[in-house]
Amino acid sequence: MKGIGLFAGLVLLLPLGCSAPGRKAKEQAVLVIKDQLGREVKFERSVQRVVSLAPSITETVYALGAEAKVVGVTTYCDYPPEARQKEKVGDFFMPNLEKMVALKPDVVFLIATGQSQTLMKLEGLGLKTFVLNPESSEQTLESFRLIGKVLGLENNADLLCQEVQTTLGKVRDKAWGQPDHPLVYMEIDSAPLVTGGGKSFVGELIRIAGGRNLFEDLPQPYGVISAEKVVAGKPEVIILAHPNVKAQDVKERLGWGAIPAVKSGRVYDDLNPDVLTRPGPRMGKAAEVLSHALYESP
Amino acid sequence: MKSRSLVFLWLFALLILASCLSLVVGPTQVSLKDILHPQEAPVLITLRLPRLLLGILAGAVLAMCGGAFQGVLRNPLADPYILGVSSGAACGAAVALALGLGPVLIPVMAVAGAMITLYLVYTLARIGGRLPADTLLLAGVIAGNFFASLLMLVMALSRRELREIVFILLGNLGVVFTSKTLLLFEAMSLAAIACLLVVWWHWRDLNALALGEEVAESLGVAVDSVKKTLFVVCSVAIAGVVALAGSIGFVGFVVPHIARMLLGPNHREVLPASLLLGATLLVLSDILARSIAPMELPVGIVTSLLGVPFFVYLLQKRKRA
Repeated sequence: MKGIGLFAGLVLLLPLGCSAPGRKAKEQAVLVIKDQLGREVKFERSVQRVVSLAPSITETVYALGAEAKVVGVTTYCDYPPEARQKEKVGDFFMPNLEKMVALKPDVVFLIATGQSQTLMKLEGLGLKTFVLNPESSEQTLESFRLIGKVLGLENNADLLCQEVQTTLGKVRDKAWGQPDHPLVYMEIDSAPLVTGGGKSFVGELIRIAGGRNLFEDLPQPYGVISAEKVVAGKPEVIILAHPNVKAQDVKERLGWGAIPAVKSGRVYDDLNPDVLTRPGPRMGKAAEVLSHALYESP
Repeated sequence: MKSRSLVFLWLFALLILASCLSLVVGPTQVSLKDILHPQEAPVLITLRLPRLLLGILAGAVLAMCGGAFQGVLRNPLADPYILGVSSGAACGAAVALALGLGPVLIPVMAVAGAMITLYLVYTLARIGGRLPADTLLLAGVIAGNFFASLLMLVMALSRRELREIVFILLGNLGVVFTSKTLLLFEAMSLAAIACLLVVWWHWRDLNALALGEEVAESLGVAVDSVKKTLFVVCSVAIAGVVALAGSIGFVGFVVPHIARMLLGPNHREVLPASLLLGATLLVLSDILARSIAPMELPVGIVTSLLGVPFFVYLLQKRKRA
């Protein structure tokens, strides 16, 4: 840690002694990018070897066309399917630190808080970390731009942002044109029931797609809720964003038969949970499938 | 003797009161009158009654079996999970989840996991047809650790996120019943009630055991067969509860102590008082856990937040007396 700081300090001080043209050249060589934790990360040379510690980041790096630079991914990184062939470095909670060091990455992308043990361990090992924090669609777009900047693929990042923004815009426009905004219950887990509130990523997607979230007022992004709250809330659409139960199982739940969504058969179990919950390049697709469920399915 | 009957009357009244409260409190408006005419409020029968009954059953089983284990092992620190049953159950459920088995098979696998643990602990602890309390305790703790590690391994190797496991470990009464899982719950309830009756049947033996195994034997108690019976019977009941509601902590450990403080050490009273108190405490805790915040809190946390002050109050009172 200290070593890096000292080295970075020296790099910063060096240009002071140089003449004007030389100084300019040095400044170009050191790229300083602020990550989503607000830390200034310095890159002395172009990034060629990347480790991704989140499925959504892996998707982004692939979407930017930098798959050749990926040297390590987590066991959960399964999209695009080719990502499965990459070297596995464990997952965010149990990363294989030795393997990561051996892969000699120029940067490790991860989603973390400032107190994250994994982040501290990686920093302690002298690995360069770049933290992303995509909790909203805005932050997700920002994460595309930042990853693009680190990889020197700003143009691709801009294109990706435009593409996703266009899709989100279309979905929003469609929602505005609708006379009604169905009440949605999004089930993230079934034993016990877990849902995403207004502060969650899926919560924002529901808003974009034109739905009203039954649990909009949940204080945290995700929380355990009681079956009775769902039944009492009378949602018009139920979306099962987990593979544990099917629409038929929901119909069989005691007392759930009275819910409008169950009565009218609007319980959807065929939306890909990964698409719905990963803050990555398939965010536009997620909004589209939600919009389809809300407005185009019988 | 009269004061003891009074205590039981109080405990029973408390349970009834807590149950009524549990039926009335919730997001849908239900009045006390509706309890007598449940067809007016369908939510009572479909959602609140199953949850209330699960709470009563879980509280009763955990507290009474905790009391029995404390008696059999003659260890005041014993709780229903000390012999590894809950780790085995959680492990079975984890395997079921990792394999993608449905909502009916998960509790079945949990019971299977608990039974395997039970068998292992029993075989490990048995020395020449006897079941010494200390080896039983050791075998239980070892088996519990082993299955906890196995659980971690399943979680680490499974590609699916096993969030449910965390909730099994925390305990939760918010089971979403279908007609199939309700049938399972009914079967498990009947088994658990039978087990509790067997436990209570042994109150004399437990009292004798409290004087030491040699003394109990000299009093004509078949110590080893009593221990075996209680160990198996309690484990079966606990397995059913853990399979449905997870390993809800604290009730099974502290309620028997509270019962002893209220009524003295006689198991004839301690066991049924634990049953009533455990059920009441869990039902009350669940009401709070599901209505304090917009989301549900883990019931085990509320249970200890309610139970510890009461325990401390009794302890202080006894110290002063």
